Amino acid sequence: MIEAALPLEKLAQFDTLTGNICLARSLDEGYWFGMKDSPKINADMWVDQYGDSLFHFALARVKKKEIAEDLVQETFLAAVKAQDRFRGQSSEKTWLFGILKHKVIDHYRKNKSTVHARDLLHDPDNVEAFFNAKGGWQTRPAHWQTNPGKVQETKEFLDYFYRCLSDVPQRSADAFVYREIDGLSTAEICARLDITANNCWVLLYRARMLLRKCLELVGFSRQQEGKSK
Amino acid sequence: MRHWMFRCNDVSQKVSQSLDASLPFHHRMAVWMHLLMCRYCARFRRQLIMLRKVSRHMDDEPSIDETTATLSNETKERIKKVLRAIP
Repeated sequence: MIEAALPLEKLAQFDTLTGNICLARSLDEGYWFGMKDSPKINADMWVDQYGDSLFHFALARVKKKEIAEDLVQETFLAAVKAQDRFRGQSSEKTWLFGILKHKVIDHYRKNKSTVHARDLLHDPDNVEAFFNAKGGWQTRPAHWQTNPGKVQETKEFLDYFYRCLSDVPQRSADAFVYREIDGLSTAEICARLDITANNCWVLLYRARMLLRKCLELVGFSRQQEGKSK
Repeated sequence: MRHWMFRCNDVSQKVSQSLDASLPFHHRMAVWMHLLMCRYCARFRRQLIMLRKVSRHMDDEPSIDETTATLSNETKERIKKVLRAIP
């Protein structure tokens, strides 16, 4: 057991210095691959040190306190189980938050609400239908009256965001999450999903189109078309 | 390309792709020309960039103060207990 934060951080740096890089994470299990002889992590210390900020993060994204608590617990559980694979490429905190983000996304996937855009979106596999025969927009993108800096603080937006994301077909959504939330490169995503770069761009394109459309449909945009025309 | 310039559906694909890779010069030019003239594609592009910003900043750590909801001590103890039970 490691007793204090400092030695662990040093170790993490040391591991980075060896030049090993982490390549991949999965959405469900096993987040990091690598590091073999890592010392056991002091889980109590984790809970004391990161519990509150993880909880706060989760609570901003799910509605109920109990759910947020569960997600935090699941995060720690997954982290402890996968600690051998934590490589110290990122800080412990970043690592834990990375796990939590996936837990939140999974939570929304598992609890799809009935309300949503799935009904509003036409065939989600047919992004072509967003355009008319001449290649123009079938429905023109509406003006969004938003400031991402502010908007992401609002629960409402985050709720829309996750709900819309859960409506995106799995593979596209995975590609999107790897790219935009985990910040992996296209090459890393291709390796992860075992697809070609071209395929990867198609998945990302589809995810972005659907997500954008969904956010617009659920009222994220303000109806300003009349004015701006 | 069927046309000397991209149409909206081509542009939307290229704009998306440009977020993940650098486009060949002639594609960049064609997209740029289109965006100059098409406010909807320009808007689309801004929105994709915004989606990226929002997604990437999702890990911004919220500031914790006394008004912030925190885990209760009981919950913390419960979680620690669960974690200790892992072999």
